[in-house]
Amino acid sequence: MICWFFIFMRQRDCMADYEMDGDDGNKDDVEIVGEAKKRNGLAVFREALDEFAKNRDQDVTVYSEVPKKCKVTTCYVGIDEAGRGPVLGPMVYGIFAAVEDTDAISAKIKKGQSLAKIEECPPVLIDSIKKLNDSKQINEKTRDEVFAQFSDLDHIVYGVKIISPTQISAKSYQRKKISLNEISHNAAIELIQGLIDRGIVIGKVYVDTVGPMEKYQAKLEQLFPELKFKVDKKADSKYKPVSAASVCAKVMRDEALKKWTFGDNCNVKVAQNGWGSDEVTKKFLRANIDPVFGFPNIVRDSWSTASDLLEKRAVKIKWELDEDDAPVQKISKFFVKQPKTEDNTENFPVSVLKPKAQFFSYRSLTQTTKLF
Amino acid sequence: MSPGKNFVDETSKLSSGEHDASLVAPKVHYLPFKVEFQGPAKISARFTQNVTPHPELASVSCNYFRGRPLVGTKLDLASDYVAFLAEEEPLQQHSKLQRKVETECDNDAETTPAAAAGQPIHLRQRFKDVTYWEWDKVPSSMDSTAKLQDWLKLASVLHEPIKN
Repeated sequence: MICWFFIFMRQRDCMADYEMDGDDGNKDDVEIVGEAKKRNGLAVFREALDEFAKNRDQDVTVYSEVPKKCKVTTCYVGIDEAGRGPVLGPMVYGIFAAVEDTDAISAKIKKGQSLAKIEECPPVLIDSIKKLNDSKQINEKTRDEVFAQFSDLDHIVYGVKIISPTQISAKSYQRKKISLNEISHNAAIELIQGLIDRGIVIGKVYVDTVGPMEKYQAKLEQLFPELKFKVDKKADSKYKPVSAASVCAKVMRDEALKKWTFGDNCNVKVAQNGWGSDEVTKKFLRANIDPVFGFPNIVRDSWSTASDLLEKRAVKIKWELDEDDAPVQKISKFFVKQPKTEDNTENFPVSVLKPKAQFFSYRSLTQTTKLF
Repeated sequence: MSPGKNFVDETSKLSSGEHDASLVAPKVHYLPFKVEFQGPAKISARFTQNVTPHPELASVSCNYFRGRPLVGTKLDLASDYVAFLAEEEPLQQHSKLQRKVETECDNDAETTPAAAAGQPIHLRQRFKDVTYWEWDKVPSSMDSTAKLQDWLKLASVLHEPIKN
Protein backbone atom coordinates (compact mmCIF):
# COMPACT_ATOMS: atom_id res chain seq x y z
CA MET A 1 0.00 0.00 0.00
CA ILE A 2 1.24 3.43 -0.91
CA CYS A 3 0.96 5.90 1.87
CA TRP A 4 0.89 9.63 1.67
CA PHE A 5 1.68 12.01 4.33
CA PHE A 6 0.55 15.55 3.89
CA ILE A 7 0.95 18.66 5.84
CA PHE A 8 -1.09 21.52 4.56
CA MET A 9 0.72 24.28 6.30
CA ARG A 10 2.80 26.07 3.78
CA GLN A 11 1.41 29.48 4.56
CA ARG A 12 -0.95 28.67 7.32
CA ASP A 13 -0.86 27.52 10.86
CA CYS A 14 -3.03 25.44 13.05
CA MET A 15 -4.03 26.00 16.62
CA ALA A 16 -5.42 23.20 18.67
CA ASP A 17 -7.48 24.18 21.63
CA TYR A 18 -7.82 21.37 24.08
CA GLU A 19 -8.06 20.71 27.77
CA MET A 20 -4.92 20.15 29.73
CA ASP A 21 -4.00 19.99 33.38
CA GLY A 22 -4.09 23.38 34.98
CA ASP A 23 -5.88 24.97 32.08
CA ASP A 24 -5.78 28.75 31.86
CA GLY A 25 -9.15 28.73 33.49
CA ASN A 26 -12.16 30.44 32.09
CA LYS A 27 -12.77 33.42 34.24
CA ASP A 28 -16.24 34.71 34.14
CA ASP A 29 -15.80 38.11 32.61
CA VAL A 30 -19.38 39.26 32.68
CA GLU A 31 -19.93 41.83 35.32
CA ILE A 32 -23.28 41.57 36.99
CA VAL A 33 -25.11 44.82 37.15
CA GLY A 34 -27.24 44.49 40.20
CA GLU A 35 -29.04 47.78 40.34
CA ALA A 36 -32.56 47.93 39.08
CA LYS A 37 -33.34 50.10 36.12
CA LYS A 38 -33.57 53.73 37.04
CA ARG A 39 -35.07 56.58 35.15
CA ASN A 40 -35.48 56.94 31.45
CA GLY A 41 -32.14 58.39 30.38
CA LEU A 42 -29.95 56.48 32.78
CA ALA A 43 -31.87 53.28 32.08
CA VAL A 44 -31.19 53.71 28.40
CA PHE A 45 -27.50 54.02 29.10
CA ARG A 46 -27.48 51.05 31.41
CA GLU A 47 -29.24 49.05 28.73
CA ALA A 48 -26.63 50.05 26.18
CA LEU A 49 -23.77 49.20 28.50
CA ASP A 50 -25.30 45.81 29.36
CA GLU A 51 -25.76 45.06 25.71
CA PHE A 52 -22.20 46.13 24.97
CA ALA A 53 -20.87 44.06 27.89
CA LYS A 54 -22.38 40.93 26.33
CA ASN A 55 -20.19 41.28 23.29
CA ARG A 56 -17.65 44.06 23.20
CA ASP A 57 -16.66 43.18 19.66
CA GLN A 58 -19.93 44.55 18.32
CA ASP A 59 -21.36 48.05 18.10
CA VAL A 60 -24.45 48.98 20.08
CA THR A 61 -26.97 51.73 19.30
CA VAL A 62 -29.72 52.92 21.67
CA TYR A 63 -32.21 55.75 21.80
CA SER A 64 -34.09 57.28 24.68
CA GLU A 65 -37.86 57.12 24.64
CA VAL A 66 -39.48 59.56 22.27
CA PRO A 67 -41.77 62.08 23.98
CA LYS A 68 -44.84 63.13 22.01
CA LYS A 69 -43.64 66.74 21.78
CA CYS A 70 -40.74 65.73 19.58
CA LYS A 71 -43.12 64.18 17.08
CA VAL A 72 -45.31 67.26 16.69
CA THR A 73 -42.98 70.22 17.18
CA THR A 74 -39.84 71.03 15.25
CA CYS A 75 -36.64 69.81 16.90
CA TYR A 76 -33.09 70.97 16.45
CA VAL A 77 -30.60 68.16 16.33
CA GLY A 78 -26.93 67.99 17.26
CA ILE A 79 -24.35 65.29 16.56
CA ASP A 80 -20.96 64.86 18.15
CA GLU A 81 -18.51 62.14 19.07
CA ALA A 82 -16.29 61.20 22.00
CA GLY A 83 -13.17 59.09 22.02
CA ARG A 84 -12.08 59.46 18.44
CA GLY A 85 -8.36 59.63 19.11
CA PRO A 86 -7.60 57.33 22.04
CA VAL A 87 -6.01 53.94 21.48
CA LEU A 88 -8.24 52.37 24.14
CA GLY A 89 -11.96 51.82 24.25
CA PRO A 90 -14.88 52.57 22.01
CA MET A 91 -15.65 55.67 20.04
CA VAL A 92 -19.11 56.90 20.95
CA TYR A 93 -21.41 58.91 18.73
CA GLY A 94 -24.20 60.95 20.24
CA ILE A 95 -27.28 62.51 18.70
CA PHE A 96 -29.48 64.92 20.57
CA ALA A 97 -32.79 66.45 19.51
CA ALA A 98 -34.49 69.24 21.45
CA VAL A 99 -37.81 70.91 20.77
CA GLU A 100 -37.56 74.50 19.48
CA ASP A 101 -38.29 77.38 21.79
CA THR A 102 -41.34 78.80 19.96
CA ASP A 103 -41.64 81.89 22.16
CA ALA A 104 -38.06 82.93 21.59
CA ILE A 105 -38.39 82.33 17.87
CA SER A 106 -41.57 84.38 17.45
CA ALA A 107 -40.03 87.20 19.50
CA LYS A 108 -37.04 87.23 17.16
CA ILE A 109 -39.23 87.10 14.07
CA LYS A 110 -41.13 90.13 15.37
CA LYS A 111 -37.81 91.93 15.58
CA GLY A 112 -37.39 91.21 11.91
CA GLN A 113 -34.90 88.31 12.01
CA SER A 114 -35.21 85.67 9.32
CA LEU A 115 -35.52 81.99 10.26
CA ALA A 116 -32.18 81.27 8.62
CA LYS A 117 -30.59 83.89 10.86
CA ILE A 118 -32.32 82.51 13.93
CA GLU A 119 -31.17 79.01 13.10
CA GLU A 120 -27.56 80.13 13.22
CA CYS A 121 -28.02 79.75 16.92
CA PRO A 122 -30.77 77.20 17.37
CA PRO A 123 -33.18 78.35 20.06
CA VAL A 124 -34.02 75.20 21.92
CA LEU A 125 -35.55 74.45 25.26
CA ILE A 126 -32.37 73.17 26.85
CA ASP A 127 -30.88 76.58 27.38
CA SER A 128 -32.20 76.33 30.94
CA ILE A 129 -29.51 73.79 31.71
CA LYS A 130 -26.89 76.24 32.85
CA LYS A 131 -23.66 74.36 32.72
CA LEU A 132 -24.32 72.77 29.37
CA ASN A 133 -21.31 73.28 27.16
CA ASP A 134 -18.89 71.38 24.99
CA SER A 135 -18.11 68.19 26.91
CA LYS A 136 -14.39 68.91 26.80
CA GLN A 137 -14.84 72.22 28.57
CA ILE A 138 -16.67 70.84 31.58
CA ASN A 139 -15.37 68.31 34.04
CA GLU A 140 -16.63 64.81 34.57
CA LYS A 141 -18.77 65.68 37.57
CA THR A 142 -20.53 68.54 35.79
CA ARG A 143 -21.02 66.35 32.76
CA ASP A 144 -22.72 63.70 34.84
CA GLU A 145 -24.91 66.35 36.47
CA VAL A 146 -25.92 67.80 33.15
CA PHE A 147 -26.57 64.35 31.81
CA ALA A 148 -28.73 63.46 34.79
CA GLN A 149 -30.87 66.50 34.07
CA PHE A 150 -31.63 65.20 30.59
CA SER A 151 -33.61 62.42 32.23
CA ASP A 152 -36.12 64.90 33.63
CA LEU A 153 -36.89 66.60 30.34
CA ASP A 154 -39.88 65.55 28.29
CA HIS A 155 -39.02 67.45 25.14
CA ILE A 156 -35.75 65.87 24.12
CA VAL A 157 -34.60 62.64 22.50
CA TYR A 158 -31.10 61.35 22.31
CA GLY A 159 -29.31 58.34 20.99
CA VAL A 160 -25.83 56.92 21.25
CA LYS A 161 -23.85 54.52 19.15
CA ILE A 162 -21.00 52.71 20.83
CA ILE A 163 -18.46 51.78 18.20
CA SER A 164 -16.38 48.86 19.43
CA PRO A 165 -12.59 49.16 19.26
CA THR A 166 -12.68 45.73 17.60
CA GLN A 167 -14.83 47.13 14.81
CA ILE A 168 -12.59 50.16 14.41
CA SER A 169 -9.57 47.88 13.89
CA ALA A 170 -11.47 45.36 11.80
CA LYS A 171 -12.72 48.04 9.41
CA SER A 172 -9.20 49.29 9.02
CA TYR A 173 -7.84 45.76 8.48
CA GLN A 174 -10.56 44.36 6.27
CA ARG A 175 -9.95 43.83 2.57
CA LYS A 176 -11.82 46.96 1.61
CA LYS A 177 -10.56 49.39 4.19
CA ILE A 178 -12.97 51.84 5.80
CA SER A 179 -11.32 54.91 7.28
CA LEU A 180 -12.17 56.33 10.67
CA ASN A 181 -13.75 59.34 8.94
CA GLU A 182 -16.05 57.05 7.05
CA ILE A 183 -16.89 55.11 10.21
CA SER A 184 -17.74 58.46 11.82
CA HIS A 185 -19.89 59.58 8.90
CA ASN A 186 -21.72 56.26 8.86
CA ALA A 187 -22.43 56.51 12.58
CA ALA A 188 -23.87 60.02 12.16
CA ILE A 189 -25.98 58.88 9.22
CA GLU A 190 -27.29 55.90 11.16
CA LEU A 191 -28.28 58.11 14.08
CA ILE A 192 -30.03 60.67 11.86
CA GLN A 193 -31.95 57.86 10.21
CA GLY A 194 -32.78 56.55 13.68
CA LEU A 195 -34.46 59.83 14.59
CA ILE A 196 -36.32 59.96 11.28
CA ASP A 197 -37.56 56.40 11.85
CA ARG A 198 -38.85 57.45 15.26
CA GLY A 199 -40.95 60.19 13.74
CA ILE A 200 -39.07 63.17 15.09
CA VAL A 201 -39.75 66.45 13.32
CA ILE A 202 -36.31 67.73 12.41
CA GLY A 203 -35.75 71.42 11.75
CA LYS A 204 -32.03 71.40 11.18
CA VAL A 205 -29.12 69.08 12.02
CA TYR A 206 -25.91 70.53 13.44
CA VAL A 207 -22.86 68.34 13.04
CA ASP A 208 -19.35 68.69 14.34
CA THR A 209 -17.21 68.14 11.29
CA VAL A 210 -15.09 65.12 10.54
CA GLY A 211 -12.82 65.68 7.59
CA PRO A 212 -13.46 68.51 5.12
CA MET A 213 -16.60 70.44 6.12
CA GLU A 214 -18.02 71.12 2.65
CA LYS A 215 -17.69 67.53 1.51
CA TYR A 216 -19.33 66.20 4.64
CA GLN A 217 -22.17 68.69 4.36
CA ALA A 218 -22.73 67.77 0.70
CA LYS A 219 -22.71 64.07 1.56
CA LEU A 220 -25.36 64.51 4.24
CA GLU A 221 -27.52 66.77 2.06
CA GLN A 222 -27.42 64.22 -0.71
CA LEU A 223 -28.40 61.38 1.61
CA PHE A 224 -31.16 63.33 3.34
CA PRO A 225 -32.46 65.83 0.77
CA GLU A 226 -35.45 66.69 2.97
CA LEU A 227 -33.25 67.88 5.86
CA LYS A 228 -31.22 71.03 6.48
CA PHE A 229 -27.67 70.66 7.72
CA LYS A 230 -24.99 72.77 9.26
CA VAL A 231 -21.65 71.03 9.38
CA ASP A 232 -19.23 73.16 11.30
CA LYS A 233 -15.92 73.19 13.10
CA LYS A 234 -16.13 73.30 16.88
CA ALA A 235 -19.89 72.85 16.57
CA ASP A 236 -19.90 71.40 20.10
CA SER A 237 -19.22 74.84 21.57
CA LYS A 238 -21.36 76.81 19.09
CA TYR A 239 -24.68 74.96 19.10
CA LYS A 240 -26.48 73.75 22.21
CA PRO A 241 -27.85 70.52 20.71
CA VAL A 242 -24.30 69.58 19.68
CA SER A 243 -23.03 70.37 23.20
CA ALA A 244 -25.73 68.10 24.57
CA ALA A 245 -24.84 65.36 22.10
CA SER A 246 -21.19 65.65 23.09
CA VAL A 247 -22.13 65.29 26.76
CA CYS A 248 -24.15 62.13 26.01
CA ALA A 249 -21.30 60.66 23.97
CA LYS A 250 -18.63 61.52 26.52
CA VAL A 251 -20.58 60.20 29.51
CA MET A 252 -21.22 56.98 27.63
CA ARG A 253 -17.60 56.54 26.61
CA ASP A 254 -16.36 57.16 30.15
CA GLU A 255 -18.83 54.61 31.52
CA ALA A 256 -17.93 52.06 28.87
CA LEU A 257 -14.25 52.43 29.73
CA LYS A 258 -14.87 52.23 33.48
CA LYS A 259 -17.09 49.20 33.18
CA TRP A 260 -14.75 47.38 30.86
CA THR A 261 -13.96 43.97 32.26
CA PHE A 262 -11.13 41.77 31.21
CA GLY A 263 -11.29 38.03 30.85
CA ASP A 264 -7.65 37.23 30.82
CA ASN A 265 -5.01 38.36 33.25
CA CYS A 266 -5.22 42.07 32.66
CA ASN A 267 -3.88 43.54 35.83
CA VAL A 268 -3.42 47.13 34.95
CA LYS A 269 -6.66 49.00 35.23
CA VAL A 270 -7.60 51.60 32.72
CA ALA A 271 -8.19 54.67 34.80
CA GLN A 272 -7.18 57.25 32.28
CA ASN A 273 -8.77 58.40 29.10
CA GLY A 274 -6.88 55.92 26.96
CA TRP A 275 -4.79 58.33 24.96
CA GLY A 276 -1.67 56.79 23.49
CA SER A 277 0.43 59.56 25.03
CA ASP A 278 -0.92 58.93 28.51
CA GLU A 279 1.47 57.13 30.90
CA VAL A 280 -1.16 54.81 32.40
CA THR A 281 -2.27 53.84 28.93
CA LYS A 282 1.29 53.18 27.84
CA LYS A 283 1.79 50.99 30.88
CA PHE A 284 -1.45 49.19 30.19
CA LEU A 285 -0.42 48.46 26.62
CA ARG A 286 3.01 47.18 27.58
CA ALA A 287 1.59 44.98 30.34
CA ASN A 288 -1.10 43.37 28.25
CA ILE A 289 0.54 42.03 25.13
CA ASP A 290 -0.04 38.36 24.67
CA PRO A 291 2.84 37.05 22.56
CA VAL A 292 0.47 35.33 20.14
CA PHE A 293 -2.87 37.09 20.38
CA GLY A 294 -1.64 40.58 21.02
CA PHE A 295 -3.79 43.06 22.89
CA PRO A 296 -7.13 42.49 24.60
CA ASN A 297 -10.12 43.78 22.66
CA ILE A 298 -10.21 47.16 24.40
CA VAL A 299 -7.23 48.17 22.27
CA ARG A 300 -7.56 49.53 18.77
CA ASP A 301 -4.95 47.35 17.10
CA SER A 302 -4.92 49.50 14.00
CA TRP A 303 -3.64 52.54 15.93
CA SER A 304 0.05 53.01 15.29
CA THR A 305 0.75 53.17 19.04
CA ALA A 306 -0.62 49.63 19.27
CA SER A 307 0.65 48.19 16.01
CA ASP A 308 4.18 49.49 16.64
CA LEU A 309 4.22 47.78 20.02
CA LEU A 310 2.93 44.54 18.52
CA GLU A 311 5.65 44.68 15.91
CA LYS A 312 8.28 45.02 18.61
CA ARG A 313 7.00 42.83 21.42
CA ALA A 314 4.76 40.14 20.02
CA VAL A 315 5.42 37.11 17.87
CA LYS A 316 5.64 37.81 14.16
CA ILE A 317 2.60 36.92 12.09
CA LYS A 318 2.90 36.28 8.38
CA TRP A 319 -0.44 36.68 6.66
CA GLU A 320 -1.19 34.45 3.74
CA LEU A 321 -1.68 37.34 1.38
CA ASP A 322 1.50 39.11 2.39
CA GLU A 323 3.45 36.07 1.27
CA ASP A 324 1.64 35.89 -2.01
CA ASP A 325 2.85 39.32 -2.98
CA ALA A 326 5.14 38.12 -5.70
CA PRO A 327 6.94 40.89 -7.56
CA VAL A 328 4.88 41.92 -10.53
CA GLN A 329 6.46 41.21 -13.88
CA LYS A 330 7.06 44.24 -16.01
CA ILE A 331 4.85 44.29 -19.07
CA SER A 332 7.83 45.22 -21.22
CA LYS A 333 9.27 41.81 -20.47
CA PHE A 334 6.80 40.26 -22.87
CA PHE A 335 7.99 42.39 -25.76
CA VAL A 336 11.61 41.42 -25.48
CA LYS A 337 13.08 38.39 -27.12
CA GLN A 338 13.53 35.79 -24.45
CA PRO A 339 16.89 34.06 -24.15
CA LYS A 340 16.73 30.39 -24.91
CA THR A 341 16.03 28.54 -21.73
CA GLU A 342 17.72 25.29 -22.74
CA ASP A 343 21.15 26.67 -21.95
CA ASN A 344 20.16 27.75 -18.49
CA THR A 345 18.38 24.63 -17.37
CA GLU A 346 21.39 22.84 -15.99
CA ASN A 347 22.08 25.51 -13.45
CA PHE A 348 18.84 24.91 -11.64
CA PRO A 349 17.91 22.05 -9.41
CA VAL A 350 15.30 19.79 -10.91
CA SER A 351 12.70 20.67 -8.31
CA VAL A 352 12.60 24.28 -9.44
CA LEU A 353 12.03 23.38 -13.03
CA LYS A 354 9.38 20.83 -12.41
CA PRO A 355 6.28 22.63 -11.24
CA LYS A 356 4.07 21.02 -8.70
CA ALA A 357 0.94 19.52 -10.14
CA GLN A 358 -1.75 22.15 -10.21
CA PHE A 359 -4.14 19.84 -8.47
CA PHE A 360 -2.00 20.02 -5.36
CA SER A 361 -0.92 23.62 -5.50
CA TYR A 362 -4.57 24.68 -5.80
CA ARG A 363 -5.22 22.85 -2.58
CA SER A 364 -2.11 24.08 -0.79
CA LEU A 365 -0.94 20.51 -0.49
CA THR A 366 2.70 19.59 -0.40
CA GLN A 367 4.33 16.28 0.02
CA THR A 368 6.65 16.23 2.94
CA THR A 369 9.14 14.14 4.74
CA LYS A 370 9.44 16.52 7.63
CA LEU A 371 6.99 16.48 10.45
CA PHE A 372 8.20 19.37 12.58
CA MET B 1 13.12 0.74 10.34
CA SER B 2 9.62 -0.58 10.25
CA PRO B 3 6.98 1.95 9.39
CA GLY B 4 4.94 3.28 12.23
CA LYS B 5 7.45 2.30 14.83
CA ASN B 6 8.15 5.84 15.90
CA PHE B 7 4.60 6.87 16.44
CA VAL B 8 3.15 6.44 19.86
CA ASP B 9 -0.61 6.64 19.77
CA GLU B 10 -1.71 8.02 23.08
CA THR B 11 -5.22 8.81 21.99
CA SER B 12 -6.44 5.35 22.92
CA LYS B 13 -5.67 6.17 26.55
CA LEU B 14 -8.10 9.03 26.48
CA SER B 15 -11.08 6.94 25.56
CA SER B 16 -11.92 3.53 24.28
CA GLY B 17 -14.36 4.27 21.53
CA GLU B 18 -14.40 6.79 18.73
CA HIS B 19 -17.61 8.34 19.94
CA ASP B 20 -16.11 9.14 23.28
CA ALA B 21 -13.11 10.59 21.57
CA SER B 22 -15.23 13.30 20.05
CA LEU B 23 -16.10 14.50 23.52
CA VAL B 24 -12.55 15.47 24.31
CA ALA B 25 -11.71 16.35 20.75
CA PRO B 26 -9.59 19.48 20.50
CA LYS B 27 -10.98 22.45 18.67
CA VAL B 28 -8.56 22.87 15.85
CA HIS B 29 -8.34 26.15 14.02
CA TYR B 30 -6.69 26.38 10.65
CA LEU B 31 -5.59 29.94 10.12
CA PRO B 32 -4.86 32.17 7.14
CA PHE B 33 -1.47 33.13 8.51
CA LYS B 34 1.70 31.72 9.98
CA VAL B 35 2.63 32.36 13.56
CA GLU B 36 6.37 32.40 14.08
CA PHE B 37 6.05 30.64 17.38
CA GLN B 38 5.54 27.15 18.71
CA GLY B 39 4.30 26.44 22.17
CA PRO B 40 1.40 26.84 24.49
CA ALA B 41 -0.88 29.81 23.95
CA LYS B 42 -4.12 31.06 25.45
CA ILE B 43 -6.13 29.75 22.57
CA SER B 44 -9.26 29.03 24.57
CA ALA B 45 -9.48 32.38 26.34
CA ARG B 46 -8.28 34.49 23.47
CA PHE B 47 -9.72 32.77 20.44
CA THR B 48 -12.17 29.88 20.83
CA GLN B 49 -14.27 31.72 23.39
CA ASN B 50 -14.63 34.73 21.13
CA VAL B 51 -16.11 32.84 18.21
CA THR B 52 -19.51 34.27 17.31
CA PRO B 53 -22.00 33.11 14.70
CA HIS B 54 -22.11 35.07 11.46
CA PRO B 55 -25.03 37.52 11.55
CA GLU B 56 -26.43 36.35 8.24
CA LEU B 57 -24.97 33.03 7.21
CA ALA B 58 -25.67 29.68 8.80
CA SER B 59 -22.75 27.51 9.92
CA VAL B 60 -20.33 30.39 9.40
CA SER B 61 -18.48 31.97 12.33
CA CYS B 62 -16.71 35.23 12.96
CA ASN B 63 -13.64 36.03 14.99
CA TYR B 64 -10.80 38.49 15.17
CA PHE B 65 -7.07 38.07 15.35
CA ARG B 66 -4.89 41.05 16.18
CA GLY B 67 -7.58 43.35 14.89
CA ARG B 68 -8.16 41.54 11.64
CA PRO B 69 -11.60 40.11 10.93
CA LEU B 70 -11.74 36.37 10.31
CA VAL B 71 -14.58 34.32 8.88
CA GLY B 72 -14.56 30.60 9.40
CA THR B 73 -16.45 27.40 8.90
CA LYS B 74 -16.16 23.80 10.00
CA LEU B 75 -14.53 21.33 7.71
CA ASP B 76 -15.36 17.71 8.38
CA LEU B 77 -12.76 15.22 7.31
CA ALA B 78 -13.91 12.41 5.05
CA SER B 79 -15.43 9.62 7.08
CA ASP B 80 -12.59 7.14 6.66
CA TYR B 81 -9.91 9.59 7.78
CA VAL B 82 -8.74 10.59 11.19
CA ALA B 83 -6.62 13.60 12.04
CA PHE B 84 -4.10 13.52 14.83
CA LEU B 85 -2.56 16.13 17.00
CA ALA B 86 1.05 15.10 16.96
CA GLU B 87 3.91 16.24 19.12
CA GLU B 88 7.55 15.48 19.46
CA GLU B 89 8.79 14.14 22.74
CA PRO B 90 8.54 17.27 24.79
CA LEU B 91 11.73 18.67 26.19
CA GLN B 92 12.10 18.61 29.92
CA GLN B 93 11.65 22.29 30.50
CA HIS B 94 8.92 22.40 27.98
CA SER B 95 6.94 19.99 30.11
CA LYS B 96 3.54 19.96 28.59
CA LEU B 97 3.07 20.57 24.98
CA GLN B 98 3.97 21.83 21.64
CA ARG B 99 0.82 22.46 19.84
CA LYS B 100 1.13 21.79 16.23
CA VAL B 101 -1.19 19.79 14.16
CA GLU B 102 -0.75 17.57 11.20
CA THR B 103 -3.34 15.74 9.26
CA GLU B 104 -2.55 12.49 7.72
CA CYS B 105 -4.27 9.63 6.10
CA ASP B 106 -2.22 7.01 7.79
CA ASN B 107 0.51 7.00 10.34
CA ASP B 108 3.24 5.02 8.66
CA ALA B 109 4.85 7.83 6.75
CA GLU B 110 8.30 8.18 5.39
CA THR B 111 11.07 8.55 7.86
CA THR B 112 11.11 11.93 9.52
CA PRO B 113 14.19 13.57 10.98
CA ALA B 114 12.71 13.20 14.42
CA ALA B 115 12.00 9.58 13.81
CA ALA B 116 15.48 9.07 12.43
CA ALA B 117 16.91 10.43 15.62
CA GLY B 118 14.92 7.83 17.44
CA GLN B 119 12.54 10.28 18.99
CA PRO B 120 9.03 8.99 19.02
CA ILE B 121 6.21 11.16 17.73
CA HIS B 122 3.36 11.22 20.16
CA LEU B 123 -0.15 11.28 18.81
CA ARG B 124 -1.88 13.14 21.59
CA GLN B 125 -5.36 13.70 20.35
CA ARG B 126 -7.53 12.70 17.45
CA PHE B 127 -10.14 14.83 15.80
CA LYS B 128 -12.55 14.68 12.92
CA ASP B 129 -13.06 18.30 12.00
CA VAL B 130 -11.18 21.53 11.65
CA THR B 131 -12.48 25.08 11.67
CA TYR B 132 -10.74 26.89 8.90
CA TRP B 133 -10.58 30.65 8.84
CA GLU B 134 -10.23 33.11 6.04
CA TRP B 135 -9.29 36.74 6.37
CA ASP B 136 -12.44 38.80 5.76
CA LYS B 137 -13.76 36.34 3.19
CA VAL B 138 -16.73 34.02 3.51
CA PRO B 139 -15.48 30.46 3.16
CA SER B 140 -16.68 28.71 0.03
CA SER B 141 -16.34 25.33 -1.58
CA MET B 142 -13.75 26.88 -3.91
CA ASP B 143 -11.26 27.54 -1.11
CA SER B 144 -8.09 25.55 -1.30
CA THR B 145 -8.75 24.23 2.18
CA ALA B 146 -12.25 23.05 1.33
CA LYS B 147 -10.96 21.40 -1.81
CA LEU B 148 -8.59 19.36 0.28
CA GLN B 149 -11.44 16.90 0.49
CA ASP B 150 -11.10 16.27 -3.25
CA TRP B 151 -7.71 14.78 -2.72
CA LEU B 152 -8.88 12.57 0.10
CA LYS B 153 -11.60 11.19 -2.18
CA LEU B 154 -9.26 10.85 -5.12
CA ALA B 155 -6.62 9.20 -2.99
CA SER B 156 -8.95 6.52 -1.77
CA VAL B 157 -9.99 5.77 -5.34
CA LEU B 158 -6.37 5.64 -6.46
CA HIS B 159 -5.41 3.30 -3.69
CA GLU B 160 -8.29 0.95 -4.02
CA PRO B 161 -7.25 -2.61 -4.77
CA ILE B 162 -7.52 -3.30 -8.48
CA LYS B 163 -10.43 -5.58 -9.16
CA ASN B 164 -10.85 -7.44 -12.35
